[in-house]
Amino acid sequence: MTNHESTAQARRMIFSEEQEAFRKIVRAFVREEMVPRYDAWQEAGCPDRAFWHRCGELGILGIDVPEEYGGMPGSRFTHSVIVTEEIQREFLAVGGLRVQTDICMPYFLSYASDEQKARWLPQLTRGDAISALAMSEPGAGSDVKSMSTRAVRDGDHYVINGAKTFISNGTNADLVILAAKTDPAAGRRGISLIVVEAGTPGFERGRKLDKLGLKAQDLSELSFSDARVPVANLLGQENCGFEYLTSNLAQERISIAVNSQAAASAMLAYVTSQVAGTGAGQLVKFALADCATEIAAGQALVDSALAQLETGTLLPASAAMAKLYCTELQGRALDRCIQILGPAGYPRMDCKITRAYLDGRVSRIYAGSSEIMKVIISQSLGV
Amino acid sequence: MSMQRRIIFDEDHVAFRDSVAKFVAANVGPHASISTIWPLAANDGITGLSIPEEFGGAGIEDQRFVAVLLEELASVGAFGLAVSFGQALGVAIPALVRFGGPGMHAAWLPDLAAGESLCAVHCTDDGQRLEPGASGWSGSLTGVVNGSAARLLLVAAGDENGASGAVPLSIGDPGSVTRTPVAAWTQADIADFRIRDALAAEGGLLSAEAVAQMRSDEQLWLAVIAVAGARAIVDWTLAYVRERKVFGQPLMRFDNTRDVLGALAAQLAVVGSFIDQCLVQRANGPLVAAQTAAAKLAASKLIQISADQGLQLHGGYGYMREYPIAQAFADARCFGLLGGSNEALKRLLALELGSN
Repeated sequence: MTNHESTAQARRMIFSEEQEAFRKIVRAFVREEMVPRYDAWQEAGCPDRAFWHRCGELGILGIDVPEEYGGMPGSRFTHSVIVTEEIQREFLAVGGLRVQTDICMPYFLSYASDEQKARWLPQLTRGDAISALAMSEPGAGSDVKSMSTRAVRDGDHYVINGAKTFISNGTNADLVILAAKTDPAAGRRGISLIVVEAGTPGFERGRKLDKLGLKAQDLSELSFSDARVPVANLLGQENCGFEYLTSNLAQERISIAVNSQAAASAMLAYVTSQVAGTGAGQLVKFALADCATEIAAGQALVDSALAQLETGTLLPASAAMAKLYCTELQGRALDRCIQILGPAGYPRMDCKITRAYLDGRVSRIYAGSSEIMKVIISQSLGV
Repeated sequence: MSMQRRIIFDEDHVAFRDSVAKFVAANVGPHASISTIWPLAANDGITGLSIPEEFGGAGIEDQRFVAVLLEELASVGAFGLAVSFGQALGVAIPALVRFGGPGMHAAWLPDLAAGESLCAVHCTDDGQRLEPGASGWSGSLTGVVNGSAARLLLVAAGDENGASGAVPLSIGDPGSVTRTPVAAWTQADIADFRIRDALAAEGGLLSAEAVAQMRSDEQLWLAVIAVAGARAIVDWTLAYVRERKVFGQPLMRFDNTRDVLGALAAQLAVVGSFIDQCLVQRANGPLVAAQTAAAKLAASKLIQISADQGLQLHGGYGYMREYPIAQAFADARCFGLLGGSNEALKRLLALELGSN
């Protein structure tokens, strides 16, 4: 066994046997049902509804959800890590799935009332409903609290006006967790999370955004013109939205770190297999050694963060470090791999690395840019 | 950026730049490619710039006019077109004019000047070349700029010892050319070739000296495009960070923004200055391999880092195709790979160091 393989073995120690059995099922699903459809999804700009139903059937959409609402029994966030890793093994970018399982579902689980859970969770876990989280606005990206989408209480409803952009699953979402100002004078203490359902009058889907990569990921603008949403759709308490966002962002950042880490690992494995036996020169060997070392460091960092997430001890700064490191690592590793493969690779569309490179570039920006991660980390250092 | 006035251009170049800028604004849209733009450029006399008047060209030997054209294309983010014109106008035609015989001149130059045919060239020292066989020249070439639009292909030829010359081929057999879908330099009509027993076109092979000139020129023009591209990227980024407000103030006010832009500005000044020196010297003949290798290496690194950091400063908008920085990021990555990889250039430079 090579050293690289033994590291990989050690890596698998964080997964149980039951999870490894789940991995086999997911791997088969990715290979047999996702890979053949991926080109069509890139054309369409999103996966089809059948994909979501299949994810529901396989229990993927019920990861970490109580059984009574359609959850997968005994599942944990680690199951979602497995799904992400297996999808990246085939260099597919289907981030909308992680948005549902890793980003939106925790909001429903933590802040929805029993009545809301009964209403929404079964459809989400079956794949009948797609969810989205609407935070960013054209004028408010990094600076979340400066958002201007407004929700005004009017009897039993909120009347919502505003616009959101860069919303993953925005075009197709049936349930949008919208962050809006219920008290504009209160800055970060004036934000509420309100679930807007598809078909709500005044809620319009805006442009599908034309991205550099991630062609199978639905990203769009949303607009709200006097959209009336029942107060019964408020998640948690009014004006506590910013707190909720802050506490959930740690898991979102780990989810992204896992994805970037998996993308870098998958590409290293691919490039190594391409290079093996070709009489690689010293520069290629050293570049691969650099990649492998950084990837091992990233893996250790993200696995440590995952362990803390499991025990509820994950600090925002640790999540920020994992997100910062693994996304930047993805950029460096893919860049090195492009150079190793030479003109047989980039920018040809028939080479996996081309799409992987363009798909990966946004990871240093979304879910809090690298610069914002540095702000969080430096604050934790007390400076 | 007005930090340095470009002292290498005179008023004729400035006038030409104005007319090229107008041509680009009028003709280079999102679906432009070299096959559509080359004939249009001929109407404006651009394709015949360095072709002698007797063959329908303008007979201009001053290569700074080529530089102006490539820079204007790069300044609007049309990198594929810039590389296409660089290969045709800056690499192939000067070699044909200087090293080709009368037969070759008569057969090719008028059509090139008139925009009726386009030339592709692959003389990069990347191991790809044609080899002689009993019935003609054979070989496979991947990633040839202008490949699917060209009627004439100039390609390095030789044996296991290296390239000893360049074969001019008339591309007659459409089955030998396969267009390559690419995510960058998309306007350059890049294609792969499978050539079997092809015979040299009119005039026979160009010499090893011609190959050396073409290699040097290829690197020079890629360096010119890369620096101009980096300048444009910094300009777009500067405009964005002055406008975009985050946390209540323009992004430009943050220390991080200034740090990134300041470092790029310094590199632009230094690398730009070296490239301008190369352009001036080119008037006296092709530059030595080490000089163009250094130029291309430095310029490739600069455009890549400018594009990456420029995209980052654009935030989420940097990933959206409606902003030119997004495609520029994809295009920038090619410069360190194609036309001589960074590693090949560093190796050459190291070997040249020892020989002085």
